[in-house]
Amino acid sequence: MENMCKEELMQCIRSTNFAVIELGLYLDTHPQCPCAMEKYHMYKKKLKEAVAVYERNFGPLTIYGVKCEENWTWVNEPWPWQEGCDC
Amino acid sequence: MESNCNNQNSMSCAHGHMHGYTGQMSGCSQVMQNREHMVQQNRGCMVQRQRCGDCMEHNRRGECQQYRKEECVQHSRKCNDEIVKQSGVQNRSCNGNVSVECVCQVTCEKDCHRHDEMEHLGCEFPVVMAYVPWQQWGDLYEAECGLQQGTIFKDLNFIFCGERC
Repeated sequence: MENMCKEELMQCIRSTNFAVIELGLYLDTHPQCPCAMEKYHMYKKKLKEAVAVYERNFGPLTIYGVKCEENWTWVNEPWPWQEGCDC
Repeated sequence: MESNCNNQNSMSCAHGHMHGYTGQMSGCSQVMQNREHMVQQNRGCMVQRQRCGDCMEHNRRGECQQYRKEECVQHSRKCNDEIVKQSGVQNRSCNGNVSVECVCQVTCEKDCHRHDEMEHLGCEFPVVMAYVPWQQWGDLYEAECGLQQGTIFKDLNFIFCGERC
């Protein structure tokens, strides 16, 4: 993941996050399913790693990802509608 | 096995009822061929149709849910499950492969003991209620593919083919 570019990381985060949500929905109706639980934890771990790598290199993805204690880096450009944003 | 239907190879029987699914030519009697325990029961197309009319719930294979419910009892014995379940919706999680004999579509093998202990959800299917076939654990897409398809569960990916399935 460290070698991924910004876009590749973002796509990884999107797809992994989707998988976590899907598995969560399945577990809502199948709370005892060991297969689903295993997959859920696997994807959750992968998502956490991907988000950590992205935020370390490219800035926060959510307001909870702001690490800097001096500046509110959340407002750093570019914003989604601005040129240069990959959203 | 005595056929209850005049035209086994037609998509519709003499009673005017549609049969089969996914292009498989199955008449009323052929639908029942794979269910040995059902052979003894005198379920003609008309009877089944009446039952279908009661609940109006069909799974992907076009089988009446209420019809399938009654197979659960036989199915339990067929799967050699030590926990004998009464008829009703099965709710089990299992890593076993799907058995073609499992008409209730519960994933298991004959020697599989990984069913959980959730009971059948009762034996009654009151009328005027909506029932949803229970999803079983199956194959998954990779995350990237799942995002493209709209689901990571292969069983839930009903690919649009532009015509009635």
